[in-house]
Amino acid sequence: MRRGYVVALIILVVAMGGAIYSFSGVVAQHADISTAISQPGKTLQIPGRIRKDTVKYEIADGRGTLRFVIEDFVDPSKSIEVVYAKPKPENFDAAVSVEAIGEYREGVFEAHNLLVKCPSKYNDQTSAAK
Amino acid sequence: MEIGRWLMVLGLVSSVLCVVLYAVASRQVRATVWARWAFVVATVCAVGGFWRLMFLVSHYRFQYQYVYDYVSADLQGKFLYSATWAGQEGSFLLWAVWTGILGLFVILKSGRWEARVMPFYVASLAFLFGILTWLSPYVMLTRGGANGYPLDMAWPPIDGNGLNPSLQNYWMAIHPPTIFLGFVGLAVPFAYALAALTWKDHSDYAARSLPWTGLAVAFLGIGLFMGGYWAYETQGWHGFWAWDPVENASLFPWLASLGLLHGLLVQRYRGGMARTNMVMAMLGWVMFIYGTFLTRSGVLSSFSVHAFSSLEKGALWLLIAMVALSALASLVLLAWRWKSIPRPAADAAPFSRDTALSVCVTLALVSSIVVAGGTSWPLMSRWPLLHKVPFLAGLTAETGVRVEPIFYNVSGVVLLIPALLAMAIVPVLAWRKANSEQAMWRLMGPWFTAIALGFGVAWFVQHEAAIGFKADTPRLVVVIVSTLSLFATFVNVIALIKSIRGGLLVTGGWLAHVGIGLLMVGTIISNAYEKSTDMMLIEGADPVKTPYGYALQFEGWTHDGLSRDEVQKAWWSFEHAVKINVTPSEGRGKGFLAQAPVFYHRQLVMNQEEGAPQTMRWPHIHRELHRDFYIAIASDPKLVRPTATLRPGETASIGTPGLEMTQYSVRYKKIYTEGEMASGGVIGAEMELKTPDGKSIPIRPGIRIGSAEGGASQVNTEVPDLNGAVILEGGIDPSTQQATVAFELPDAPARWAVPVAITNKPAVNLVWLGVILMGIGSLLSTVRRSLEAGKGNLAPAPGTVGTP
Repeated sequence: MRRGYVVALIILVVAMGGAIYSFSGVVAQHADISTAISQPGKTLQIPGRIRKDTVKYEIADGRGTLRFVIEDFVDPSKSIEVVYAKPKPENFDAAVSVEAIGEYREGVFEAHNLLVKCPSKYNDQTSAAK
Repeated sequence: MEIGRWLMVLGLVSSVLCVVLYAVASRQVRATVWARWAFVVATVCAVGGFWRLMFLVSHYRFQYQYVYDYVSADLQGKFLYSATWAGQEGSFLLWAVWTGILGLFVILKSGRWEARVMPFYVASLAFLFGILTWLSPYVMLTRGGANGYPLDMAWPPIDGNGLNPSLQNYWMAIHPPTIFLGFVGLAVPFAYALAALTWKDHSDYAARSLPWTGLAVAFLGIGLFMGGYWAYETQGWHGFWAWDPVENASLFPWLASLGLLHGLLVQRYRGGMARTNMVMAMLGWVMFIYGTFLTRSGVLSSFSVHAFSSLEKGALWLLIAMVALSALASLVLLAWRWKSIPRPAADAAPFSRDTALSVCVTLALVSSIVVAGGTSWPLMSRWPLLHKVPFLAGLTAETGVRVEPIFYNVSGVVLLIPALLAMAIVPVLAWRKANSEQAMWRLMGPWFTAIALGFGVAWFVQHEAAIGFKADTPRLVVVIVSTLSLFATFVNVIALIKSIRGGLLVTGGWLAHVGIGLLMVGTIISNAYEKSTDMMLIEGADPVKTPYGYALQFEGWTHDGLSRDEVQKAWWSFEHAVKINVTPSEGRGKGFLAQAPVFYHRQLVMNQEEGAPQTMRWPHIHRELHRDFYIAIASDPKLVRPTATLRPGETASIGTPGLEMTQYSVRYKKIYTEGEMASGGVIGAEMELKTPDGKSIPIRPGIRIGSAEGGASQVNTEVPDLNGAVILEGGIDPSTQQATVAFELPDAPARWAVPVAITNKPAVNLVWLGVILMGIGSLLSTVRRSLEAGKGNLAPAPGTVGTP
C-alpha cells in the first residue's frame, strides 16, 4: 500500500506542476485601466463602469462581437474600449459595471471573459436614496 | 413574536440540550431517552419552521421581508417550493430540516454508537439554528426611513419582488433538496469518525459509515448534475460546467466523499486505510461547510458570474465558527488519537485490488484538494507570505487572483488518466494478491474493443482537424481520455454482467462506474468538439445556413396576430418567444420550429412603484441522438430600420443590412448647424429622399446637442407627405461629415433583427446517460450497504473476489 501512496504523490506533483504552469500563462492580475494600457499583451482583470450608450453588438462572418467602453470608478476620464468576441452575457443589459479579463492590444482591451455585476436591490436603494 | 422565530429559538435550545444530554448518555444510558426527545423536538422545530415559511410564502404575506424578496403575486403554485429555499435563510432552513430528518434515521441505525455519534452530529444542527435565529426568514419589512418600505404605500404590500425567472424551473425545484440531502449525508461519516477517535473504537466504523457515505455520494452527484443541467437549459452557457466557485463548492466535497467511499470499502474488506478514511471523513464535511462559507459570505463576489448576496454579519461569524470548530475538533482528535487508529500489516501485493483502490482513493483526495485550492485561490493569493514563494510569485496579488479554467482542465486530465486506468483494472483484481496473468487475460477483450472504438475517436478528431476545426484540447488528450473511458466502461460492463447473479443490488458499484466512463467520454468530446456560430436573423430574410446541417430563418414572434395591448402583456410571459424556422440545409432530415423565449422580467425596487424591466433570454435546445443543436439568443432582438450611410454630395439606396435594397434612395446635400453648439444647438444633414414613384422630398434630420437633460436628442424626424420618420443614427462624423440615416417608410418598415448563437454539441447525450447510470448505480449500492449494516454484517469481511 505504501507504493500506492508514492505513485499518487508522483501524480499529484505532475498534476499540480502542469496545472500551475499552464495557469501561470493565463493568470489575470487585477489592474486599473491606465495600467492595462501601459502593459499591452499582459492578461489583466480590470473593473469599470459601463458607458451604456457605447454598447454595440455586431455579427460578421459567423462571429458576434460585443463592444463597449468602460470608465474608471474614481476617475471617469480614464476609459477603454472593451471588445468581447462571444455572445453577450445573459445579464449584461442590466449590468452597471463589469470586470473584464483579457489583454490590451492595439488600442482596445480584448476580453475573453466578462464578470458582469448587476445591481442588487440594496445597492439600488442606496443610490435612489441619495 | 412570530411563531417561526420561536421555533428557531426553541430548536437552538433543544439541539444544544440534545448535545449535552447525549454526552451524558454516553456514560449514563438513562439519559438517552431524554436526548432522543430533545432531538425530536429540534427536528419538529426545523420542520415546523420550514412549514411556517412555506405557509407565509404560499399565502403571499408580502409584509415579511423574505416573502417580499422572493415571491410575487403572480408566482405559480409549483414554484412556491422553490421560493421557500431561494434565499440564504430558506436554504439554511432546508439544510436544518434534512439534518433533523436524517438524524432520526441515524438514531435508528446507530445502535450502540448512538450516544457517541449524536453529539457531533447534532452540533451542526445547533449551529444551523443559531444562524437561523440570527438570520431569521421571519422578519417583517422595515417601514419608513431611507432604506425601508415607503410609509405612503399600501400595507401590507400587495406584491413582492418575485423569484428570478431562471429559478422558476423544474430543475431548480428539485436540485436544492437533492444536493442538501447529499451534504447532510456527509455529516454522518464525519460524526462517526470523531466518535471512533474519541472512543478509540474502530471495529465496525467502516461498515456503519458506508451507507451514509454512499448516500452522500449518490445525492451530491445527482444534485451536481441537476444544477449543471439547469445551467445548460437556462443560462445560455452552451455547456453544463463552467468551473464557477458555486459549482466547485459542491464538487470538492463530492470528490472527497468519493475517495472516502472507496477507502471505506478497503477498510471494510481488508481493514486497511483506516487513517486515510478518518482524514477523508473529516475533510468531506469540513470542505462542505467551507464551500458554504466561500459561496455565502460574498468573499468571492468579484470572481464569479453568480450573484452572491453576502451573509449578515452575525450569521457569517457563526458559519465561520462552525468551519473553524469542525476543523479544529478534527485536527485535535486526529493528533491526539493518531496512534490508536488500527493499522494492519501491509500484506497486500503491489498488484492487487488493495493497491489499485488506494491509488484511486488518493487520486480522489488529491483532485478534491486541487479543486478546493483553485476555488480558494482568489483568497489565498492575497496572503503576503505566498508572494515570496518563487514559482507562485506571478500568481499572487494583493487583490486576489482568479483561477482560469485551464488550471482545472490540465490538472483534471492528469488526474483522470490514472483514475480511469485504475477504474478499468480494479474489477479484475482480487483483494490482497491478484494473479496478474489471469487479470491481463480478462482485460484483453475490453481493451481491444476500446482500442477499436478509440480508432473511431481518432478518425473523428482527425476529420474535424481536416475540415479546419481547431479544438482547444490537444487531439492526443481527447483520444487517450475517451479510449481509457471506454476501456473502463467495458470492463465494468463485464463485471456488472458477471455480478448480476448475486442480485441487482450487487451491481450498483459497477453500474456507477459504467456511468462515469460514459460521462467522461461525453464530457471530453462534447466540450472539445463543440462548435459555435453567431448569426443575425432578420425578419423577411432568406434562411441562413449554419455549418451543422440546418438553416435558420426568423419566423416571427409568439405574439404575432395579437392586439397592441395583448402584445404588451405577452412580453411578460415566459412563453413569449422568438419563433425560428429551422430547416435541413442539405435536403435530408426533418425541419422543426424552434421557440427561444425572450421576455421581460420586472425588477422591483423598493422605493419605486415600478421597476425597470430586465430582458431574459432562454435557449432552445434541439436534441438529437448524437448531438444537441443549441440555439441561444445572443443579445436582445432589436427593430432595425432601413438605413443609408453616405457623405455630402453622394446618393445612396436605402436598405436593411442582410436584406434587398428598398426602392428608396437618398441624396446628402450638405451639413447644417443651428444655434450655439454648447447650449442646445442643432447639427444635421440637409438631404433629399427619392421615392419609388420618382418624387423628391426634402428632409433635414438633426441632433440637438447639450440639451437640458444632458443627452443628445433627435430633431426634425418627420418625413413630410409620406407619414414616415427619419433619424440620424450615431450622429455626424465631424471630420468626414459622414452620416448614417435611418428611415421608417410606408413599404420599408423596421424589421426584427435577432442575434443568435448556435452551438453544435456532439455526444452530449452520453453525459446525461452516464449521469443517470451513475445515479442509479450509487443508489443501488447505498441500499446494499445499508441492508448489510442492518443485518449486523459489520465486521471486516475476509477478502472475497468479485465483490466491489
